[in-house]
Amino acid sequence: MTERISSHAEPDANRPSVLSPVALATLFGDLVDVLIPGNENWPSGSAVGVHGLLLARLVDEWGEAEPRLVAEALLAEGGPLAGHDPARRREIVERFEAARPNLFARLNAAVVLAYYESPLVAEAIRKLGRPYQLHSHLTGYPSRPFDPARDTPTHKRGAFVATDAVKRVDLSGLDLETTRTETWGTRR
Amino acid sequence: MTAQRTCDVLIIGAGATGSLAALVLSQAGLDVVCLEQGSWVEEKDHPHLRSDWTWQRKTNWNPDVTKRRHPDDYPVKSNSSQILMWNGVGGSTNVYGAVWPRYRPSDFRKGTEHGLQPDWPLAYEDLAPFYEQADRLVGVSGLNGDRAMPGREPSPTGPLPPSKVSKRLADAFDRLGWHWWPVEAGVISSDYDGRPACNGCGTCNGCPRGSMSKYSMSIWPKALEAGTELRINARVLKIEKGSDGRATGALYIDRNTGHSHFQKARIVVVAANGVGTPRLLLASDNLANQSDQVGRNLLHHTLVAGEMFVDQPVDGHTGYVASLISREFAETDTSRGFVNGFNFNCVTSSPSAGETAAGWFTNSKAPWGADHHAWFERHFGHGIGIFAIGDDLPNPNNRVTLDPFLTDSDGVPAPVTHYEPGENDKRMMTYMLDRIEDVAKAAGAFEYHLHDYRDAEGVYRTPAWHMIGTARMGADPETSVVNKWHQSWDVPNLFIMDGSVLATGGVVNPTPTISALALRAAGYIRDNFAQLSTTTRAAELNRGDL
Ligand SMILES: Cc1cc2nc3c(=O)[nH]c(=O)nc-3n(C[C@H](O)[C@H](O)[C@H](O)COP(=O)(O)OP(=O)(O)OC[C@H]3O[C@@H](n4cnc5c(N)ncnc54)[C@H](O)[C@@H]3O)c2cc1C
Ligand code: SF4
Repeated sequence: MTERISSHAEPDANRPSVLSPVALATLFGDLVDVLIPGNENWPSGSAVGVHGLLLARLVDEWGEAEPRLVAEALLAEGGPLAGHDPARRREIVERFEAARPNLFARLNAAVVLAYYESPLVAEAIRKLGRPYQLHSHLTGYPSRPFDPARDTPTHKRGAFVATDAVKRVDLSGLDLETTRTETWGTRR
Repeated sequence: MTAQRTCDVLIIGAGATGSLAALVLSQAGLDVVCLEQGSWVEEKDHPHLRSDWTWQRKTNWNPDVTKRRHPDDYPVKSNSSQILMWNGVGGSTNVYGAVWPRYRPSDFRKGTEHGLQPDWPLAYEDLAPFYEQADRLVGVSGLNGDRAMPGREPSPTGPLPPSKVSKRLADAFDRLGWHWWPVEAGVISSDYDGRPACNGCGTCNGCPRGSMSKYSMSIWPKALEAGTELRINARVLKIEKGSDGRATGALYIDRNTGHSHFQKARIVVVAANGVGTPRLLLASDNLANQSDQVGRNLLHHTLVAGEMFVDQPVDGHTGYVASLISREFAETDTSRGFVNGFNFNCVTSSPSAGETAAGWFTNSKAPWGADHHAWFERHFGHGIGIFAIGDDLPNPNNRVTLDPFLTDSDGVPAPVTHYEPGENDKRMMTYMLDRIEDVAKAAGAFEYHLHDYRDAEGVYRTPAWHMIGTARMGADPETSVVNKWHQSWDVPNLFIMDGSVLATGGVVNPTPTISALALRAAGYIRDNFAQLSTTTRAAELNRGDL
């Protein structure tokens, strides 16, 4: 969440957007609904007010000009979304994602987090059968206390080398000095 | 600038180790002053009680000091690791996870074992009683009887409730024939020392209830009651040294008034953590650095992670963040192709709903669009996270230095950190990922993802919540900064109390060891105060034994 496309000191922060505030509101509402549409079990992003939270966070984290810059990035890829069918809306957002991957990733993460903060979405999660509290720190979640008879491991595995038993190991086969591993980790 | 009284002991930093030192020394009746650049972190400052806590964890409660904008912080530049810490009373325990395993005896004998790391100047047995003392003070939960560790006293509170995640993983480890054990945690499973038991809320990232031992709630009240004078918003700019080679005290700025003061002291204790301590020493005219080891040998542990999803719900978003530990691979076995070992010692639960869907520590996340909800229904409550943490080899070029231009708001140069895993570390991390895959398969995961913390350019950007080794202890003044009592080899009344003294990283989270060491060193200062408060004998002459 650190990369900024704008900054609080951006020179043209006061430049008005090409879209009216009403059109901007529609655009952000439409955008969050493409990202998180609703269905019979889940409210859509705009239905729980995600775009309002999103706009405030864009400003707080990345500066006053950020909503305008996001809107302009979307317009550059064929926006606004209003007036288009769902397939075309998706296509515009896909182009936005391809053109501005970092900005899109940041925006999408902010949308998703805002969505799951909604008490209405928490209600939908509980309807799935999962325990879920937005303020779980206040309430906690029920749990079964540790029962020594039931929960103590019964395996007999595990050993350690005692201080006096630490012995020199043979490093000759390791070639740590001469080998340079370049392909490692997940790119192994 | 105003003159102040000469205190017996000046402690710089009110984090984990500063608080323990303050407690021991003020309980002994010494006049103790502690200077902390940050302030108290109150319950309301934590995000835990707000619906937007997941957003806050990415922004102003982000443990990465380079990602939040907090006035108590100082700037840190890093070309590699993420720098995780908190600056304020209680230090990084305001945001930590309190996974609480101990080092093992062989961790102190790596010089003997293979010579690519030094032996510590003390043994596990020297530290064992202080582990017990730390556990009682901090408030710990755990289960006795682990054959993979030396015997110990029972934890002050019993193990935390076993979660569905731990059951699932225990079965997987059994299937693999690998060791596992309920994790020790700096979290209380029953009410203890005036603090309430963990309620399993699943928001561990610090804990404003105090069920997880945040040192501002567990240790500081006792230290204050014993008489420590804690000055907050007091940032130390420089430690001064007199012509006799002794530290005279510290110049600090009161960040509330903007006025600077000099606090005179008979003994100076630095407890500013593995980045803050080398920074301060380097900024104090290269203090205590005749060995040229200050700032070098920065250790973070080798760290890789995995996320797996299983069919049966495990509700990993509930309960304390860690559930069990596996010490199967803790000791060196060179047939694996590397020295040292690792633990699955942060077997974690999964994050909140939003964090599951937005992506947690691997590339697993919900797609946007029509498939979003189906993905969520399949994955949320079904996820299990796992970390493997290993013992990285020291490299003098992995280090903390000072930026030539950037300073904090008070003019102290900003630290710059550089960390790159070495050959042994890379081999170990590859092996660890293979073993995480084994766990995922044994757990019957329908999907799993691995993470090696490398970015698109291949730079290892580990979340460096363990910052150690940068003022390491040793038996040789040429290769270490302090002796076995944390006493500077160069400045006889200067002690380094924090995690920077650790000579090796072990295969575990370090705070139990850091805390035990701090109690031991503080006891030494207390017991030898009269002599230490006047001696000009360099520590190397007596090799740490007065
Ligand atoms: C996100 C996270 C998770 C973690 N999880 C675990 C875990 O599960 N288990 C575990 O064992 N460990 C964990 N840790 C590590 C643990 O928090 C540290 O090991 C421990 O806090 C180190 O104690 P310390 O005294 O060395 O430093 P700190 O606790 O960091 O305290 C240093 C203090 O010094 C102050 N200071 C620095 N410079 C100055 C100055 N110039 N003037 C005045 N004050 C100064 C700072 O403000 C700070 O308060 C975690 C850490 C983080 C960040
Ligand atoms: S799960 Fe327990 S330790 Fe973690 S934040 Fe909640 S109450 Fe605190």
